[in-house]
Amino acid sequence: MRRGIASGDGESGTLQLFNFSFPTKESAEKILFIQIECSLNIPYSELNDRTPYEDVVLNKSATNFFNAFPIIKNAPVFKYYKRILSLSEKEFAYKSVYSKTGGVLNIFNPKIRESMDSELKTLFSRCEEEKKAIRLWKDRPSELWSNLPPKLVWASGGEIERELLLDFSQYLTRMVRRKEFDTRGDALITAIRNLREWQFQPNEICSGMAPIDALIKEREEIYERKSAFLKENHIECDFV
Amino acid sequence: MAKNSLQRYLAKIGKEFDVVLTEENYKDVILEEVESPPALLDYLRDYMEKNEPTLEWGCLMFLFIRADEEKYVPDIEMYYKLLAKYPPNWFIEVGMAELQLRYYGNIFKARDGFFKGLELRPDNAHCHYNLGFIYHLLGVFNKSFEHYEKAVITHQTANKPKELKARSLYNLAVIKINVERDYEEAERLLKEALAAMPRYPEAKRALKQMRQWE
Repeated sequence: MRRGIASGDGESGTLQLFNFSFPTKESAEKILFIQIECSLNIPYSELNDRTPYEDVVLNKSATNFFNAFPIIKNAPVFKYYKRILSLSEKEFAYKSVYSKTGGVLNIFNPKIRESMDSELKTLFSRCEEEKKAIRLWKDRPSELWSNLPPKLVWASGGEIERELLLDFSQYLTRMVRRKEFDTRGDALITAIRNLREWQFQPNEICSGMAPIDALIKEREEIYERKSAFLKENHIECDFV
Repeated sequence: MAKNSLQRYLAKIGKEFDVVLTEENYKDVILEEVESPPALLDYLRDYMEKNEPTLEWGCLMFLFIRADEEKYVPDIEMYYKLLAKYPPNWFIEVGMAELQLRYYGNIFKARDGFFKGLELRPDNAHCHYNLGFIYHLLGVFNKSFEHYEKAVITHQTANKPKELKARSLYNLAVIKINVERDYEEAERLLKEALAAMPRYPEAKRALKQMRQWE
């Protein structure tokens, strides 16, 4: 049984992307990036059960991955894959978190910059060693990413999150159908309120769990796998 | 130059709003414009006494208040910028934070604006209520809860104290239901919300819905 009640307060303009309604162009574009981020954490038999992320890190190039999935090369999303898969040293530094989407829970967030991260700033000023500050920061829930800790933002989502993203897109489209909004703020607030409601509703995609719990669980697993992989390959990373 | 702009503001206020502002009356006019709640009037009285603002400040405040009432965004932003050279005041900071939230949907900027508001008027229910809402949007429910609780405690400083108290209690109940699954506490909060504002359809509906779950 669904047990959820909406909080009190606002509604949104819509941008049609395929058959989804999203309140802003930025959030509609973000869907694509979240999907790519998630797909990079899924193991494929074509890559000997490695994830694209692992394959690219090991080969220091995305060529093997693109050869295994030639269809991507001809797809309009190819340039986005290329951009996300150019995994340089920067990927392993704490700053890389600001290039991640934060997934479905953060789909309506603006681009997060280091200058907005007051938690990190405070830790840098309190800790003598930068490394220690980063170690503390990576585990702390952050209000920049819906209370996800930076290490889980860096890890990104996987198969379940990719499916939940589609589910939420359909849910939002149903909720805002034929609604008109006076301002961008109005549109965004309505969309976010729907997201916060949806994230607590038991969902079949994750075997009746609430999406929020399933997303976190999956990201924790991905984080563990990434950490183990990087350690095994002696790659230094601020998040491990 | 400054004199010219002052003359321009005075002429605009006279022509568009049929109000004559002078060195002698501008403080009273600003208080009349704001009207209520009493706690805000006390704050503005105190602000004017401490900072001894000028007639130009009075003109800009008057124009900001009117633009805010009409929800005319370009003017709100223009007068906010022009007022930046004076010591910060709660009314314009919170007005701007509301614009960031409701008009632009800039949640982080709005959050910062309401925190600025709290620095200027600590324990202000309006700021706490809005921060409760903003943290709900940000998905940070522990902080949302904290601010709604503070809004309940400080509700007397609000424009419509009973309504703000009831809405805060309702939102606390929503967090109890959705996040903590504490239905007993949620029921208590909803009943308290209805005691503060008996005509509150959402709270009645929520209580009814909860009884169906039992």
